[in-house]
Amino acid sequence: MFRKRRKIKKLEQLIAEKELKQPQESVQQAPRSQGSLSGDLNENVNALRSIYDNCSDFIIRPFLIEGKEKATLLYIDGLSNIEEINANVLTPLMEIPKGQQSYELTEQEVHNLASILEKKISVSQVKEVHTYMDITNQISLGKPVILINQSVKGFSVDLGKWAKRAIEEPSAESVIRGPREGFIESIGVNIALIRRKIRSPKLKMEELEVGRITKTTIVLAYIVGLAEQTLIDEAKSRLRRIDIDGVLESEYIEELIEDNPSSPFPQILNTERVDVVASYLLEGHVAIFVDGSPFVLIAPTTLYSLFQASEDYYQRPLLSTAIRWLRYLFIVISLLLPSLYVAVLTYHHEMLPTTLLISMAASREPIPFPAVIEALLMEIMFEILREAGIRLPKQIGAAVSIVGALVIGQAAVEAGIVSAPMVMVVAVTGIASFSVPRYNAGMALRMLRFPMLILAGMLGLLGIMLGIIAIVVHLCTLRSFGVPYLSPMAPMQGQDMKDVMMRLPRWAHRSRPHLTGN
Amino acid sequence: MNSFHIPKISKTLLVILLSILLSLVIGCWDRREINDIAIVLSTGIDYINEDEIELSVEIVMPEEMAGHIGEGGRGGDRSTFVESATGVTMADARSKLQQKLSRFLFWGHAENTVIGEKLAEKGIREHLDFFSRMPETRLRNWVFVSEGKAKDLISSLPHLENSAAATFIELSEFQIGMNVTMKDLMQMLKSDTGGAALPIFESLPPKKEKGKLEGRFQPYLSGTAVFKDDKMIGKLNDEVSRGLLWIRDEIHYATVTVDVEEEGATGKVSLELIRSHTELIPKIKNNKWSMILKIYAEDDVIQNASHLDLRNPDFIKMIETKMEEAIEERIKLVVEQVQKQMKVDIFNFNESFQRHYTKEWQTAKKNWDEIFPEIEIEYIIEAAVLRPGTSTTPSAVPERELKDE
Repeated sequence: MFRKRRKIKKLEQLIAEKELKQPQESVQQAPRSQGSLSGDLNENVNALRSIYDNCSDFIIRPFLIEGKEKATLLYIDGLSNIEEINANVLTPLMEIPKGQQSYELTEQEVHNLASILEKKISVSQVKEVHTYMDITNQISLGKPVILINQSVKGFSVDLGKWAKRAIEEPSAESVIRGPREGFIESIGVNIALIRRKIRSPKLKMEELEVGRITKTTIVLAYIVGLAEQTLIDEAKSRLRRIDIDGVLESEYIEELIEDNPSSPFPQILNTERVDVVASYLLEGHVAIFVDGSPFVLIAPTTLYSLFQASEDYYQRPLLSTAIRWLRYLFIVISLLLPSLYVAVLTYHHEMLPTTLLISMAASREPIPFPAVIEALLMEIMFEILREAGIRLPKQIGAAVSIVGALVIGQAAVEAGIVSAPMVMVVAVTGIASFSVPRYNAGMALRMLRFPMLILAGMLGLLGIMLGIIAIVVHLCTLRSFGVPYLSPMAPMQGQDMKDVMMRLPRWAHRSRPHLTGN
Repeated sequence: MNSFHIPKISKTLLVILLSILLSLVIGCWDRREINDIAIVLSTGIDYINEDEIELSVEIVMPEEMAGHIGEGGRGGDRSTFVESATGVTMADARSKLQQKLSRFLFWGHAENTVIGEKLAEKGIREHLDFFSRMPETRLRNWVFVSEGKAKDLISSLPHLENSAAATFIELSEFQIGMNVTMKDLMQMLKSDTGGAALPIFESLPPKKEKGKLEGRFQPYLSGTAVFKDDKMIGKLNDEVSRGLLWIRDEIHYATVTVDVEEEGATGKVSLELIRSHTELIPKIKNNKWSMILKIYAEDDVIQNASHLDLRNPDFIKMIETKMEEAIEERIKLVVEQVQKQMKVDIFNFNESFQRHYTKEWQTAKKNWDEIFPEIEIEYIIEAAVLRPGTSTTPSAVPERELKDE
């Protein structure tokens, strides 16, 4: 199966390479989109008009510079700041200096256009454009382009502005103590948020463009001297190899550059929190920002970092350590509790205290199903409620929780379909799985408990042991950007253990992480 | 042969398919739901005749018992029941018993084994093998002998606990008498000398008493059964049993009351044991075997029924001496009965001789039965009263009647 997929991948790569060699004409059908600007303004404008054929939001505004020379302003409605354009571009350019009459520019003056713009346009970023490709790119970023008659270059003005969400606290990763700002959908803002935390120019941001049609901006951030060069190169090469039509979420990228996409465990961390990204950058990881997504990717990632909450570092070390231990317990519970319950109830009755066994036997007396079926039933019920709770409109959410509580909490027990201890086990398991700080890691554990449950139902504790062995073996084979997934536990890195089982006080963190840092 | 054609499946799919099929084939074979088992709490074995024994088991009725726990108990109702069957051996009786029950007998939670008095007199060795061989049974279950039939004892319904079994467990864990597990018993019977001791349980006769529910019997520890090889040869009563515990270093709870005879302040003082340690020091001198019994006991005064002011260290010393005498007296009682009359070594003397005089033991073990009754016992008992309690003087005695010198 995998071999076949690999073959398909190879084929896809071949096709992609071939297509790269051919001129990319397929998307933009205009004949001259790749070509350079000519000296004729009309010709240029007409060419662009045909590129943006049927685009009602594409605005063309012809005007005269100082009443003398023909020029055209091109932009996309809604992406640019119209007031600023009026005030800082059109008004100063169109103004006719007093005592002067309109006349055509001489050749010399045309060559000296740059100086006119320097004098007249009061905008910080002005960029020269030479080809139609450049122009479409600039316009799609919301930067208006000015074309001038007789000139083979145009100018793009950085006056993009579009509707953005305000910076809010990320709802999935809230903290009691710690910074409350989260990323938004705009990559410029996101980068600025990071730059505000790490001011050193050693923080590098490399921009790439991914997506044949969406042309999404992606920024690879790292700190020179902290991140290993091999890691940076690997990340860059993996990003460059992406050939896809569109990128709408950073998950697209995650899936495409992950080491093992068929594993349930995420090998790249995603976060909405600025401080989390900053801390990983300082540990020598690389961060990948994707325009349009508030989730920033962090690589490489190890299993243990999925279980660390940012709050761990903002509370007292002793308490954080205790909470971290509790969290590890919850992780074991969320993976194993229902299967342990089933195994003990079906095969290992001698393991329970007598009184507990008797009361469990009593509660199971009217239940028509074997324990495994009962557990599966309830677990699926819980997953239904969880999924419905997320998907439903917020107004109906309360109704779902009431129905859920009544259905699984009371009615099912009273009807004799499930036993009361089972409801408790399922509830505890469900809640425990939400204590994993990373939603996708918790999800992996929640899904893995179904096979564990079936194993426990068929082979008892032996089955659970087999399942655990299989999971551990799988985890051992995983790597994230070359870093073993279970490090620093396996392979053991004594120095790095300071942040795995414990959260040592900050003054005890004397060395940088071994595998990523220098 | 050409007709046999395997469709092309990739390796991974094959592995997944095989593991699913395999687990379906090998799985579930010993699956036993919690509602398919009859939980045995205690086992009773009785002698019927030369060929047959009767096996009785106390089985939980889960719903009844859970109801008891949840609703605070319903008076008079049983939450367990006793079923029995006869057979040539334990295993035979068990299979006959199984025929009477709709659920599978489950011994994993049986924590008591009661041996009927008569069976104990006839010999128990052959029946114990069942417990060591069956994987379900616990080797740590308590074993004891019942006064009368074992079946009657496990059928008794106590006042406090909701099963007879719970009473046996609580009393055994209380450690006021001997407590012997199945493993201990087997070791005792396997030892070179073959002496064993088991606690005896008795159920109070159902006489009418105020405040007690009718039909309820209170099982209690009533003494110790002494075994020679695997047959019961005698009983020690409760008082004598305490002496046995002192020798075996198994005493945990003891209240000793001593008489004080001081001029003008005669009375009794009760002491409670805090901790004690017994050491057996074997000696062989001129082919004469003797044993030094060294006991150190620490006590608190819990009642002062005399007029003595216990702040005076002289009085404490006196009480300590009295205490030592009292302990020695108790021990002598058991020595007299066990060593002189029954001539069975249940004091663990053999072990300590074996340890200290290995060579001599090798020749002596064959005629240990003759040597043991002749062993001279020397007592070195040291009692210490650590605290006179929280009140220094007898609280209800007027100051002038107090004797403090």
